[in-house]
Amino acid sequence: MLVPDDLYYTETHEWIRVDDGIATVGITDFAQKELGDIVYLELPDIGTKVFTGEPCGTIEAVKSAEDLISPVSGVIEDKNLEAEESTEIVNKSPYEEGWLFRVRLSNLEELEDLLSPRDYVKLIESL
Amino acid sequence: MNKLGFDYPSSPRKTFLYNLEEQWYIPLLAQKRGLPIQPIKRSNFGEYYMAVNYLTSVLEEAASINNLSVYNIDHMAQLYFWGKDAPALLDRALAGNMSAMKVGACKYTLLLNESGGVEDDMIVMRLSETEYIAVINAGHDITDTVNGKQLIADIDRIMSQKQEGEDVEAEDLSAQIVKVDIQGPLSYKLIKSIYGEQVLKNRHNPEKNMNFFTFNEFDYNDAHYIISRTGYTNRWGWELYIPATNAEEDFKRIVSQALELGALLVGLGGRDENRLSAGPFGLPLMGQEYDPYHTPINAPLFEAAVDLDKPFFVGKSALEAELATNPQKALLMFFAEGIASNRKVFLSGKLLGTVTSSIVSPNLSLEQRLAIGSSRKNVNNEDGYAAIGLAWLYFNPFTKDEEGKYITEKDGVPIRIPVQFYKVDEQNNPIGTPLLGYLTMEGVSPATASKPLKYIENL
Repeated sequence: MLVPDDLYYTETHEWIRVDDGIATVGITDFAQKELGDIVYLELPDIGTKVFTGEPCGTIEAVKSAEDLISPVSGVIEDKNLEAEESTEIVNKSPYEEGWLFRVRLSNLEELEDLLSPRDYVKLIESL
Repeated sequence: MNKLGFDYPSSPRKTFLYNLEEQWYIPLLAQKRGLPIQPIKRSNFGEYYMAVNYLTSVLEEAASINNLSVYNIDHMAQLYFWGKDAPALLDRALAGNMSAMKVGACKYTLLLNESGGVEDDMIVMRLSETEYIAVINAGHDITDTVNGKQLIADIDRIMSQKQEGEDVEAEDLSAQIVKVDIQGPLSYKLIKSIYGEQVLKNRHNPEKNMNFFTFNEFDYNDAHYIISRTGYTNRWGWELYIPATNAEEDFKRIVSQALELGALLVGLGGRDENRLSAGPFGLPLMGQEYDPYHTPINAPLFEAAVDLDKPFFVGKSALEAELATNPQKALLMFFAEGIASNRKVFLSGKLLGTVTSSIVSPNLSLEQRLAIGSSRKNVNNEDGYAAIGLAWLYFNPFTKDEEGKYITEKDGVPIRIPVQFYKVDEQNNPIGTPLLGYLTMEGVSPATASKPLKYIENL
């Protein structure tokens, strides 16, 4: 199970990469394995306000449909149209090509509530 | 009375075939497909670690039924009842007429509680005038208190109906039997090649094929087998009860042969699609369409499973009381642009019912998918897919003809009733954007289960 050590994580299995006030968000390798083949993604539109812990889209696999939870608050800057188009890249490359959306952060302090790679590894090992 | 059900296991159990799946099937499939070996993704089903899918995807495994599918169903339990009074006991404990069954017949029936709620559904085989085997759902073999909740195994629930002085006994045979289901048009060929054609013949007339919902007993490699012409796919197929002593060797032969025929071992995901996708209603699943808090009235198999002419059975008075109110509830199939689990069905803005099962199906035609009216590419592509499912509705929105039958098609074109699937708040108000779909009685695939075997015996 891949858990890169330069990212933040959430208990709902999203990862966050922060660069110059913009957070790139995706789902973790653990999440994509648990979901199985992803068949549909509904990502938040550019300009949408999102809030920490609240659903902002949908992720559907063959057997289940899950809310996509925004791990941070802010405004959507960009979304991965390629992932919406070819959902299998989220399974194949959850941390790179399979990123989901980018958020301009409205509250940088929220990052302190996110999990470190070490905490996330502990979490998934306990599941 | 001593309990016959098992204690709640400290961790989920492994089926007899678990290690063979991991250590024999996965390497074999990996080699055949040129794939890396990966551990099987499993989920807890009835306190068993069951494969969701193997190295092959749920969609590919689901599509295998159009050819041949093999399932590890060893998590289900087999209960043996014997004694002079077994027919009378089962008549009281189960909703069907068990004493009227012929020897060699299978019967689908329900185990109800006093409120008419469904505790389990099962297929019962009559071995002789005084012997039956009931094949029950996984996890319904546990009698224990778990987190303050009392679980009662079917075997104890049934035996609680035993009356003073009656001659009837019961035993859970599951440890001695390994259950493998073989379904799809090539199932005849596969079984014939391993056990010989005679096991598929009518027990009263070896010139003829076995009838739907009957079974045979036979001996092979010094052990005793049962094969029934039944299944959980609504398609041609068989359920095979292999003695544990022969199970490893037989499983390897069955699965090797299946792979040769281009077929797959299919996990829980594909099996769920397969039970939903044939015939106008699919097949209900305990815990999804059935639960202990609702009666099975108006479920598609209600009349086959329940005999209201019997003087008594547990739950009968509750069913009669509800039937007197002319209940309108209906269990219908839907097609949708995405998985509609945990959503409610709305018709013209009004709440119509609750989704009880939903899964993505690779077996819908392009025409069926385009009719959803979705903007999703995967729904509208030539080789795309959409979701199917079942929903309990407050009433059946299809109109009836003069004879009181539902009109399901007009001039050969199926009637489809567009609905929306919403998540709801605590007051059942819709939240967010709906999934689009429609109610239909056309089914995804034809229900071939009861069709003559002559169509497949020479494949």
